[in-house]
Amino acid sequence: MSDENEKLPPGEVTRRKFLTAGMGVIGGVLGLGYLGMGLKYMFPPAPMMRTPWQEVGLVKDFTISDAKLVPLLYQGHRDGVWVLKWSDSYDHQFSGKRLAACTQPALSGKAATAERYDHTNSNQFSVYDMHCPHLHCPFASTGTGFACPCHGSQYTLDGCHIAGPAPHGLYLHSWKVEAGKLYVAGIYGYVGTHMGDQNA
Amino acid sequence: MNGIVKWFDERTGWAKGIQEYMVHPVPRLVSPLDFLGVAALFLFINQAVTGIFLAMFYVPSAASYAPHPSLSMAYESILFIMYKVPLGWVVRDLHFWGANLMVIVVVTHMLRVFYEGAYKKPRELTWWAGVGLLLMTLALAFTGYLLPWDQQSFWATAVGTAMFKYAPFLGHFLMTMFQGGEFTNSLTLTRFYSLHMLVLPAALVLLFAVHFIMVLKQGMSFIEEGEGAPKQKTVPFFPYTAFQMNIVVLATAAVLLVIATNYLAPLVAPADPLNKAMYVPIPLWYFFWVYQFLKWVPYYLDPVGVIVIPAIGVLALLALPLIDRGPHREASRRKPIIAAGAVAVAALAALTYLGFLTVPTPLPSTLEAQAHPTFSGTIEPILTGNCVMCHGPTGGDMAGQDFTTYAGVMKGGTTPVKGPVVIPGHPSKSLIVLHVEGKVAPRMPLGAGPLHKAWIQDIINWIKEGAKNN
Repeated sequence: MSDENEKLPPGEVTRRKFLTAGMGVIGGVLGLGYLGMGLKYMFPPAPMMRTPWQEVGLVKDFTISDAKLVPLLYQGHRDGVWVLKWSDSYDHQFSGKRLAACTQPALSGKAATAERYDHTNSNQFSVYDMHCPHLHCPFASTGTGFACPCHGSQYTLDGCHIAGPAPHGLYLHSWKVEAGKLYVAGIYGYVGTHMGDQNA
Repeated sequence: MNGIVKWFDERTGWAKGIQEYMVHPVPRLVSPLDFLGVAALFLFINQAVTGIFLAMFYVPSAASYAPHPSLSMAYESILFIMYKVPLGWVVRDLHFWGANLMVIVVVTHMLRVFYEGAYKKPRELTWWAGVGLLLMTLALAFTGYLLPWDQQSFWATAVGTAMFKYAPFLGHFLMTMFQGGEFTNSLTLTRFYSLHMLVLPAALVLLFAVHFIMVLKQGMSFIEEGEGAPKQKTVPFFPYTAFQMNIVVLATAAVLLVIATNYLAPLVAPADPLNKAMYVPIPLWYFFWVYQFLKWVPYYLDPVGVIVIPAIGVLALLALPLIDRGPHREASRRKPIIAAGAVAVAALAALTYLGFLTVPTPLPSTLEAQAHPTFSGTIEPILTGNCVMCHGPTGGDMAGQDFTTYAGVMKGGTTPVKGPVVIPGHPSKSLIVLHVEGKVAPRMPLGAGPLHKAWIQDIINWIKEGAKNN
C-alpha cells in the first residue's frame, strides 16, 4: 500500500489523496454549516432589533432645562434615556432632529467654530441615550450638564463632549410629540464634536 | 485487586505505562514553588465541583417575576443560595474566592516557570498550553463575574464588553455578538452563562490535557538538566512526590476554606440597567491596570490599552520560548529576558496599584430631596439600590423583612422587631428612618456608608404623606 504513490507520476490524484481531500471537504462543509447557523442564531434580523416608538411621558410633566432619566425598551431590553425639554412650544419643521453644534473644542484638539444652534425656538426636546459614548457607563446629570463617573467624560446640556476620553457627544434618540405625549424610538446618531449631528 | 487490574490490562494494555509514570524518578530536593501547578489544578477542580452545585440552584435569567419586580431571577437565586440552601453560602464563597485564588496561583505559577526558564526546549508546548490556560482562567473569571447580575457585575461587564469595539475590523461585530445588542442586556447574561458553563471549561480541560501529558512525558524541569550537568538525587514520584502534592493540596484547601468562611463573597444591589440609584461602576481588580491606562490617555489611544498592549503581552508570552533559545536556564545568565519580564510585571503592578488608589468616588451629587416622593418613582429605587441585598424575599429576608414589594415594606419584620417599620404619617416613629439615620443601632445599611441625606429625606417625606403605594 505504501508504495502506491511512488508508482504514479507527481501531480496524479491517487485514491489516498482523494479520500484525504474528501474528509477535509466534508469536515469543512459541516463546520461552516454550524458556524453559519450559530452566527444567524446570535444575530437576530434587523426588524427584531428595531426600537419602536414608546411613550415616555406627558410633555407638560417635563421641566424646562431639567434633564430627567426615563425608562425605555431599547432593542427589547430594559434601558433608559435622558429627556431634556428646552421649551414649551413645538416646531414641526424640526420634528425630532436636533441640529446641534458644539462651540466647545472636543478633547481631540479640533477647534470648534460653528455657532451653537438656537434650540429654544425650533426644538422642544433633546433625548440622549443614558450610556456614555466612551465605554457605555451610565452618566449622571450635574444640573448644568452630564458627567460620567467611570473615566471622567463630561458633556454640556446640549450633549457636546467637553472633557474626558469620550470620542464624541451623547447618542441621540429620535423623538416626536403627539397629543401632548412624548414618544421616543431608537438611536439615530450622536452629537458631533463641531459639525452637527453625525449618524451613528 | 490484582485480578481487577489484570482484567483491565488485558483490554487496555495501560498498566505498564501507568506503573512507569507512577514511579518515574523525580528530583529529591524540591521547592514549594514547584507545586504551584498542582495548586492551580486543585483550584480548578474546586471551581468545577462548586460550580456544579451552584448550577443546581442558579437561574440564568435577567427577567423577574410578579412578586418581586425589582429583582431578577438570577439575583434572587443567588440570594436563595446564600441564605436558604444549606451551606449554600460556603459553596458560593468557595467558588468566588477559588476563582480569585486561581488567577493569583496561575499567574504565580507562570512567573516561576518564567524565572526558571522552564519553558525552554523541549517544553515549548507545555508553555503554550499554559498561556492558553491563563487566558481561559481570566475568561472564566470575567464571564462568571456577571452571573449574580448585581450592579457591580452588570456595569463592570457593560464597560468590559464595550471594549471589544476597539478590536480591529471585527470590533463592532464582536461587541454586539458578546452583548447580544448595542449595550449589555439580558442576552449578555445567557451568552456569558453558556460560555462560562460549557465553552470555556471544555477549552480549559483540553488545554490542561495537553499541559499535563507534556509534563508527564518530559518530567519535571530542573535547572541542572542536560548534558554535563551534575547528577541529581532522585526519588520515585509515587508515593514521595505524590504525598508532597497532597500536602500542597491540603494547604491550598485550608487557605481557601479560611478565606471563604470568613469573607462573604460580595453581592451589591440588583442590576438596574437604568442605574437609578447612581451606582458608580468599579472594574474587576485584575482589570485595574487597563482602567488606569484609560483614564490617562485620550480616546484615540484607548485601543492601545485595550487591544494593542494585551495583544503584545500574549504574543510576547507565546514567542518567549522562540526568542529565549540559549542553553542556559539560570536567571543570572538570562539577564535581558529577566529584566524585560521584571519591567512588564512592575508596570502592571504599578498601574494596578494606581487604579486601586483612584477607584471612582460618587460624583459630587446634586441630589435634592423631593417634596412629594412616590413609592414607585423614588422609594422603591432607594430600597432596591441599598437594602434588598439583605432585606429581600425568600432568601435574604434578614429580620424577616422584605423590601422588594410595597406589601413587604408595610408588613415589617419578624425578628427582632415584630411588626411594621413604617408608621404612615410618623417618620420619627418609623424604625426604617431611625435605622438609616443611625438613631437606632445598628445604622443601616449595615456595613456600607450611610444613605445619601436626600434619600433619607425622601423616605421621611414619603412617610409623612402617609406612605402611600403611589
